[in-house]
Amino acid sequence: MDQQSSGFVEPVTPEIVIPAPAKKFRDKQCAKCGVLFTPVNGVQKHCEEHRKPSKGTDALRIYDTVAQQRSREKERKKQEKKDGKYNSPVEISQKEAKRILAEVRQIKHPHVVDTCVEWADQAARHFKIPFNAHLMTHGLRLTLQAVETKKEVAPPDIQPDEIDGEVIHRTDAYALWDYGFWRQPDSFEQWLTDRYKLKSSAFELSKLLGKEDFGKKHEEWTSFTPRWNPSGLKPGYTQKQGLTWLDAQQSDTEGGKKRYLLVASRNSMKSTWARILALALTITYPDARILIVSETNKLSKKAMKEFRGYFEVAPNNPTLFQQYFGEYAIAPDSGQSLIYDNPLARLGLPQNSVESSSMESANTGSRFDFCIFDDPISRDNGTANEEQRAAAISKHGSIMKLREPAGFALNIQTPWVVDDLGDVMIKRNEEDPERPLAVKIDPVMEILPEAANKTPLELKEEDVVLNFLPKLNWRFVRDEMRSPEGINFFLTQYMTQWVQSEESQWTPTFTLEELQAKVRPLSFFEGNPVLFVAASVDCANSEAITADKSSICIARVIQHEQKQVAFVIDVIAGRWKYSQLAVQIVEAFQKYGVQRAVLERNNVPWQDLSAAIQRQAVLRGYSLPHLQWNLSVGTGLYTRSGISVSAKLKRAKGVEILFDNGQLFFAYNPNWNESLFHEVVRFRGQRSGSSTASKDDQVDSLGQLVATYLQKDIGQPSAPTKEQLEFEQEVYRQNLVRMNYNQIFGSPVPPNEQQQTYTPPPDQDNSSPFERAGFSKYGLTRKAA
Amino acid sequence: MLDLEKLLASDRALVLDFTNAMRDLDTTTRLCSRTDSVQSINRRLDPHITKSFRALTGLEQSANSALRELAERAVRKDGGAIKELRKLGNLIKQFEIPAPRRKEWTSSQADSLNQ
Repeated sequence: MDQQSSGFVEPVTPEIVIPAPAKKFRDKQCAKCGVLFTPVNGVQKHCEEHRKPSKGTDALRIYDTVAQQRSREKERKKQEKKDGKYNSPVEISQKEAKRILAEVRQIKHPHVVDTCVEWADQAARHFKIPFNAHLMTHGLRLTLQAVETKKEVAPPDIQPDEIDGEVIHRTDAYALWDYGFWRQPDSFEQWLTDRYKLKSSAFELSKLLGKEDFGKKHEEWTSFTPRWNPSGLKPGYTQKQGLTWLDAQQSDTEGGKKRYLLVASRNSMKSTWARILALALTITYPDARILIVSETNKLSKKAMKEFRGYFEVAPNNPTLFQQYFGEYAIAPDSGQSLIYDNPLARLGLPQNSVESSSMESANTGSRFDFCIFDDPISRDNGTANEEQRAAAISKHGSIMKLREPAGFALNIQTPWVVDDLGDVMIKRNEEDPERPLAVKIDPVMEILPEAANKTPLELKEEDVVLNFLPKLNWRFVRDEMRSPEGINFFLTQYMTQWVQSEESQWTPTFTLEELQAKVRPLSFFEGNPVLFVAASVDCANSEAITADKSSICIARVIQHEQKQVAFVIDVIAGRWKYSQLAVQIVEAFQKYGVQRAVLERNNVPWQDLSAAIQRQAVLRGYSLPHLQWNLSVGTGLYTRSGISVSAKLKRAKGVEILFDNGQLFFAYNPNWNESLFHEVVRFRGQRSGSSTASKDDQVDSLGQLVATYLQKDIGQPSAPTKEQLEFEQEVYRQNLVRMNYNQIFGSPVPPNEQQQTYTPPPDQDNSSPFERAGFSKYGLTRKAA
Repeated sequence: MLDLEKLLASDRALVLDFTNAMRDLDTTTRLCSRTDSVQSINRRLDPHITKSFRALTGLEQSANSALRELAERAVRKDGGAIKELRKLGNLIKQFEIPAPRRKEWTSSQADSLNQ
């Protein structure tokens, strides 16, 4: 074709000066592009565009560079084609392998790419095939197929679609199945179905983890707690989408409740099951922040060790769980031992995926989406006394403040004592009409109705249905019933009952607030008829600093609101000798005009004390009221553990009842109010010790007074108590006896009239010798003159 | 004075018990001498006192409010109440109770003492 006619104008490089042809050659066709051109010499094969530039010019250098690149590219492609064959012995680098997976196989998640490369390497070594490009482009199974059939196969046609229930794309999932699940025969679709099932059921997951002892109850727990639904979360979810998904999770049986309490028997594998539930959450929602709270730091380390153990891969020996969920696996020594960071987490939240903590440590600042309180209390922690129980409840409350609004909390524990954390949670839940807490209680066995009246030790295997077979079988249960810790331990720890200890049934419980609420001014009951003024004395006999105190409790018994009320007007306590005690008693009685008094005569020389009191009364010219010397005898009551219920404790318990019934008030007097209240609040029926905190003298005197003189209010006229009856009978007897003594011995002469005054005999007429001789007493008198 | 007709049989029995106990107490007191020991006197008086107190305790639970009040006063050694109760008991004896196991002598019977 003519250049002119075609209108094509050859570009002229201004730097290259083309000398005018000395000789004209006929036109040739360019060997490269086929265009007709006029050569400048006879050997020119290419047109001006494609001809090699002249030597020594820049154009030649550019030309050579381009040619070299072209050549190398051609060579590389040639080699690539060669390497891309299944039987290529050329191994590729890890970097190259990752590039192929990301670019050729379109695997989106970088951590999945890393995992696949690592596993492909392991698989190549296992099957003794080269770690070549074919392995990356075609995957393990197709490579093995090609090696086996010795035929090239087409690469897999997988698109990066979304999969229901997965937060990774299909290409990622396929590669994970291909490189990681080759030990199992299941297909990719089956693998996906299994993953979905495992994520949504902690019970199914536990079977995968080899928990053979899990049974029907654990399946029930899976329905009881929130079931993580893998559907709804997509690859690339945002934080808002994540929280919305979390908020939508529901329990099969409890609906959308956020707080759960699972009370189950000891050894029922409840902790393991709860950790598996947390495991299911982290593989379903990788950005979930999970907090596992144990009782102590030591236990929290153990809990986390078990949890991390599910993910830590032994070299070349992944567990079945790790084969299913390889992308979540971590190296055994990676990161801190008390946390697990989910490699698939993508939101970059400041908290760790799973963190282990304890009731001993501070948890400030770490929010959670799901918290497991794994046996947060025990016999030693959080249950021993009221303060510990309150501290445990407070700690639980402060941790619960860290919960995301959409988050969940699960408390698993065994009962310990009444009013422990679980008991209080249940009681508060029952008070709340909305019942925000889901509660499930599973003892080690259910007792059949026909054996309901049998005691635990009388039960036979056919009387019960064991809940945690095969692990907690009848033989084990029977052994535990007979453990030296006693049947109460079995009832709490295995039968999951909050057993009120018999000691605690007898323990009076007063709070300072309740006592202070019963304080009234001295004039409060003015106008109410005062039935009598009573006093009670608890005697002690030492002045030593650690000795018990003597206590004199004085109260007015008043008719108020159709019941008898004891208004305590003074409590005098101190360490005195008997002689001093007698003085104190008489002075107190005289001061308040005591009409009836009861004194404890146990372990004191009461006759001597009584004499001393009478002597002091005589010295003061005070007429003593009737004194009742009370001998405290054993109540005959024993707790099951063999501890006797003392008369003192029984009396104090009686005080509590009357106190609640508004029959006991205290006059305001800072001198003794605080000391009495302190003793009353601390009193738990303990034996009086040497420390100030263990003293019970004032409580005892108060209890004695109330038990002796205060009539119980049963809402209608009632029979008097045994003590009151005895007292009344004694007073009655003394009155009658005194009356009859008067008849027998004559009326007594008042002391002031008993003093004998000398009265001289009347003057007698001794003038007569008969008189002087004393004859007159024989009737012999001198005859009157 | 209480209306005898309105008293229940159980109340009457208690009033009688009380009256008898007080009578016995008086008798015992008269039999005691000032030379007797206090313990001895107490030992002889106590059974009657206990009986009378038991009767009064029973009367305190009576359905009859007047009788109940009388008993309560008597327990608190109200001399008037005690007298009142004894009077009541004597009236009951006088009008209602034939002497138990004592045969009334009639002229038709032979009087062994006079033979």
